[in-house]
Amino acid sequence: MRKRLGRPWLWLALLVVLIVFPFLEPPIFYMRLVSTILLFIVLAQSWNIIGGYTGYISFGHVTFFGIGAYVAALLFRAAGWPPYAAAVPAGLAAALFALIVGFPTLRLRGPYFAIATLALSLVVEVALANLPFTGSGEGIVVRGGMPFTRMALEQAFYVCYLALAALTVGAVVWMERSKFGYGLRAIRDDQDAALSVGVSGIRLKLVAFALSSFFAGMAGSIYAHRAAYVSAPDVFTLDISIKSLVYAVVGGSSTVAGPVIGSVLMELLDIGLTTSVLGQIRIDHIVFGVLLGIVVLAAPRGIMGLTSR
Amino acid sequence: MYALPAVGLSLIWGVMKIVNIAHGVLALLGSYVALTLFRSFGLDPLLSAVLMLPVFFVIGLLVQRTLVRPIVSQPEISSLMILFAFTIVLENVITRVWTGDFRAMTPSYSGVSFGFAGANLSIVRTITFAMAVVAVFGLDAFLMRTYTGKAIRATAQNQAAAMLAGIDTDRTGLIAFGIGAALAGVAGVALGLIYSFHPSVHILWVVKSFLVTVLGGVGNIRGAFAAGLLLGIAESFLGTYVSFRWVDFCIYGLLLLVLLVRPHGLLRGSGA
Repeated sequence: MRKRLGRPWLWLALLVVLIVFPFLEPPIFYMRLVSTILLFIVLAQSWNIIGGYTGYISFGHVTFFGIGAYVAALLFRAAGWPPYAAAVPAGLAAALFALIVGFPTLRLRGPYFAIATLALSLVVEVALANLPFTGSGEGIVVRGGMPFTRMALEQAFYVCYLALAALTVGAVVWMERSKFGYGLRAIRDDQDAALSVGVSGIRLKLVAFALSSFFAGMAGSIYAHRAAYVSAPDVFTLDISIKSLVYAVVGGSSTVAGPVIGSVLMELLDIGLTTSVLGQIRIDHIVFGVLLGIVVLAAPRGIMGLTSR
Repeated sequence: MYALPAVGLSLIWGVMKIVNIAHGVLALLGSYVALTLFRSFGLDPLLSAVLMLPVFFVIGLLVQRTLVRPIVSQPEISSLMILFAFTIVLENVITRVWTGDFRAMTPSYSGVSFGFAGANLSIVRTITFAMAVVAVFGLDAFLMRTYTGKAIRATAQNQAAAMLAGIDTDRTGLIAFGIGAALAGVAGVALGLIYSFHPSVHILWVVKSFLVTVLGGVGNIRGAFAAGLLLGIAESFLGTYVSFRWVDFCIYGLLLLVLLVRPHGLLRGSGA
């Protein structure tokens, strides 16, 4: 069950390729594709911290992504902050919000938490769509402070996403080996037993939830600048929550590589499904649902479980 | 108005310890099927509500046998996930078949109201309220008086003890799921008569049903009925004091508050 990080040099080589890639000035389409995959690696991996390692399934991961996006948009409107500067306060705001809502909900068993997160994403969406300082239904335009030429702009966003993805994966690698990570898995496997050997349940769960939300919030802040426009119906799509969960679980939750592999394969599949002839009938979510069902029924450890057999 | 969908959710949750997140989407399927029967064949939605009972009972049995039962021994998270997967698939199938437009069922009596004891009552709301009363008290009588009903209550209270007493708990869980799904189908018709609907509205339905279930005490049918009434009244009153945009906000806030203060419900769950 406990597996070392396969081959560290492979990961390093991958990272080097990913760093060099945008500066070879490849076609914009491929750069955007890799950027999008990197965004979902951040989302799936951050979902994995709370959903995989801690065992508390979140149906509302978009909440923290959306809060991050709004914080970045507000900072931009108020003081013209660029995405890389706004990412940290955006992540912190999302983490703080996670602490506030996690305090009551993480004491409950899994299903309560799952529905509460779903309800939360609806609450926050309604609030942000109607509060005057968030632009109400009009949203906020987030454009400027970035390089002007197309290629330079794409490179800048690519680098932001890559740095964030590396940071998120790095955090999970650290978690895997730390006492903190062991504590989380102990809670997931048997909460009562974990508590009886002195694991501080609620504290570890809160930290995990805040950490998970921190990365989701940072992803949201970069996304806000990327989309150049933030409004509640655009940001708070159930799509983000579904993809974060499905990519992590299909790839293999509570592993480092699972959400990464899941995001790459599933996002490619998604693009294949939506841009080919099949796109007209829009079966991508049906395929996602079926795959998630197959994984839960037949291969609970996802793609990672198949490879380690 | 939320009593009807919540009762089915409460039953499944109480007996099988499964939170059926697909409950809303099953109800929505009921709304759309009733819509098609009404539009194409002129079948009155109230008649199709009766038709929904056996049809959704069978759908419930199939879902339980193919999806839920194989993983019943795994942590409750697995059943939640598989039902979430089912929800995603069904919502998108509904979108493909009926498109994403807003729909409404408008039989001749919709929008008509009558005066009673000084109050103005809408016919549709009165009928759906009557449906909820019949369903809740019918289910209550079934649970209290029949052997199967007693078996369901016993399984909800203590599965191991029920097994020892010679109850086929596997079959009991199956039947409870079927009944829960049948109630979802009927609830869908009722909700479709009152509100307009579109393919992703089921999330609101399931969250509100969840709220009612928790408020009434998990597995407590009468509690769910009382809580459903309470939520309906609360919504109407909120609607007169705050902007309609904030009504749902207050309702979800209420859900989080209830989870914080009384996760076992205002009235304690009494098994089933």
